[in-house]
Amino acid sequence: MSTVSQNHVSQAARSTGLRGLLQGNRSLLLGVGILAAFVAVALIAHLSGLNSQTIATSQRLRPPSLDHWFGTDRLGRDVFARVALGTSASLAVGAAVATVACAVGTILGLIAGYFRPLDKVIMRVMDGIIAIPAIMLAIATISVAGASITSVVLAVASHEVPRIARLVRSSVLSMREEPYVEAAKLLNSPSRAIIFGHMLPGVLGSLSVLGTYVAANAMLLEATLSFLGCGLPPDVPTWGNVMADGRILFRIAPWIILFPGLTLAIAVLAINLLGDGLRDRFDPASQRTMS
Amino acid sequence: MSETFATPVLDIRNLSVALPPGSDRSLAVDNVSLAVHPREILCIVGESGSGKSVTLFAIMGLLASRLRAVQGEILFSGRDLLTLSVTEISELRGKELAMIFQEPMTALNPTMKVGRQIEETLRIHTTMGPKHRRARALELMRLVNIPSPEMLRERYPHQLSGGQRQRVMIAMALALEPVLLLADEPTTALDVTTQAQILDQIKEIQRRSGAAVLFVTHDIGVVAEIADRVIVMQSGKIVEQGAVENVLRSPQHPYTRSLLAAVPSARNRVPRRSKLDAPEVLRVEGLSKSYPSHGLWSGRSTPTRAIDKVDLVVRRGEIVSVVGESGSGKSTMARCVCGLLEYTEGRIAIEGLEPQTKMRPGHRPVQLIFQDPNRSLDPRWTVGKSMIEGMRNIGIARADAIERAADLLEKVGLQRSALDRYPHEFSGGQRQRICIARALSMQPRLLIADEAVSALDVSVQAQVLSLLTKLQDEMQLGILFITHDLHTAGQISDTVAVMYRGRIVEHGPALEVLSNPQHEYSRRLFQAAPGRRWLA
Repeated sequence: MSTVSQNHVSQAARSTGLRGLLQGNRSLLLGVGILAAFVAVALIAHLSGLNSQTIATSQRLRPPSLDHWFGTDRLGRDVFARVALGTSASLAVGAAVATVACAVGTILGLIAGYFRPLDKVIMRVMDGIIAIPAIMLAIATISVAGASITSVVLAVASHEVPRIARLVRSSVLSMREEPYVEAAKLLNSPSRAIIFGHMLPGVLGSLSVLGTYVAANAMLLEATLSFLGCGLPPDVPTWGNVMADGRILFRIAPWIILFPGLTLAIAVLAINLLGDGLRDRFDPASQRTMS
Repeated sequence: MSETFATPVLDIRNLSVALPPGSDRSLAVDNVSLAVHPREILCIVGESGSGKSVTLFAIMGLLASRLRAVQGEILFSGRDLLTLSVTEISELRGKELAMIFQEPMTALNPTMKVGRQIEETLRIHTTMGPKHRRARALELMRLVNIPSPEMLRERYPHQLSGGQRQRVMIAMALALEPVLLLADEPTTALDVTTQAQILDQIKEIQRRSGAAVLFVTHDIGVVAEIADRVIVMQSGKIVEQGAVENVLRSPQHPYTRSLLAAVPSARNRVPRRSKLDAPEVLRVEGLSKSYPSHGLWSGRSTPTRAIDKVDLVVRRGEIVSVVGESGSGKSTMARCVCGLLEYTEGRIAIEGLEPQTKMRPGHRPVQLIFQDPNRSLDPRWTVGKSMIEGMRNIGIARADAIERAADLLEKVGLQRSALDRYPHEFSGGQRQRICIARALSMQPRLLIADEAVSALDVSVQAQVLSLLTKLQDEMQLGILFITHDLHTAGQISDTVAVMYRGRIVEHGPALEVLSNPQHEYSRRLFQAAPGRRWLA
């Protein structure tokens, strides 16, 4: 009977699509809402021609006011403009890292899980990467490759790849034993078809959940790198380097560091809410009806 | 009921349990009244979804949060269990009510030694000191015939066999001498010989302790073995009840009759033509499969033999059953034959292929039907996509493949429209039909059914079995039927092979082997089959 009632649940969710996905899932809704607001702010900031580099020496270190919502920094630049324009960099790094890490990690995980002889080689390399502290790995990569958005994304992504690979590999290992995969083998399906037809769709659910956490983590790491002065080039405003600017003036002008910090915290929270919502949606345990 | 010799231990009056809205029916249990008298074993029998387990969970106060008792009362020693608070009911549980679950591995705590788990029940509910508790635990383990209890009490659940674990569960249930013992399919997960021992155990304990037993099962054979009285449930309602002999010998309700008729047995056997001169579709010679077992440090390996020099022949149009208990190697053999597993020694010759000493992957005219129809179709694929997967791989054009898939679905009794639907929209029996159709799409000479009907309800089981025999007759397939159920083997097969510890210990025409087993193990196996006396 449990299967019957479960069927109804999943059927209902399937038929209503995206709306069904969002319905009754408050954290998912909240996460998506906040992120949409961030994207809107970033878009408006770029389209309205806000300039983060406009220096007004007469306006230095002004506290927040109606003219300067987040105050100004030591060169008289508007902190709000810098934060708003930095949104796109932060979000882009988060999204790009999640995409790159998920793509590479998924491929490695699928290979390691499906072709057993390669498993040991791939997973030991992954273990090696995990053993290196993320920040060190990133600083090393950037100092070799130079500071650009590509090198930051690659540096942060290379640290996240092992986590994704591990998750995908373990799902593949359990799916290998599923009768439907064995049936596909008996139906003469080639490995490629089994991996991409049966296994990849099976990991997408958990992958999308982990992907959001990776994105949140990447935004934090990018901010840390910029804060330490080895992130994106200084002419690109990011939440991290705005905070770095404000670090020495913290006692005189706390707003320079406070607002980008708050913004970062809210963005990361939103992404994590999104991840939690997705997890609730995909986790079979939360769908259990009766037994 | 006329028997009013004693007040019932448990008296359920007009119990109704509601299902959450949107389910296939509104009530899981519909106006059920029943009474369990002292010193009797009452069996509730029914198929999945009949409400038998829900009734049991309602008594224990273990209903899932989505289920609600909407009407009626459950009177136990004068108190209505439905109105008791959580603390009151957990006080009753264990002390006066005890329950044995289906899967002892999940019902026991895996991180605690079994002796301590039995003692824990005593620690919580009694004032016994540690020494007394230990002595009592040993006494209980002896009571349920656990061999060398002093040694086994120091083991963790995973170090015990399935039967031993279930005995530990029973020992825990008996620890406080409950008035009523509730059992939810306690032997379903066990092998037949173990099942027979556990059933004897429950009967003996019931006789000795005088507890009443409410026993829920789907297996009519088990009912015939153990019950004094039986209640038949269908869709949440009681359709028939009475003394076990009356219900089984002369069932009144049509549902009971159809349920009894569906039970597989050699009685339901359709006369079959002898196939001894037909060409062979499968010849297995000296097949062995061993797993290297490495010591943790030594690196030296002493191979474990899963199958040991097995010989077997399946002819065209013949059904060969391989029966055996879990771990006998029957599934391993099936997987070697269809190429999912490499074997270590021997030869497999399949019609149309060169005999091979090592199976390489690649298309071979063998298809396998799996035990669990819920997992043998990709849940994310439509039935149509699953159906044409194999045909596309052997080079059949898409349109032709779809056409053939639709024909095959009609052949197994489903509609064409099934192609566009997802597996979860079908029942277990329908899904098994889809799997059969998918297997046939590859035009196999040999079909291996690995416990293909074991997970299905009896009535569905009967339908799938008759479908298999019909198709087999029409298409002149050879079928290798792997099963633990002797009755099923007796009903459909031409030849029966009995497997024990990786070897085939007995092999011959079905009726001969079943009626007059020669090997000592086959005899033991056949004696243990539940409901033997009733079915014979």
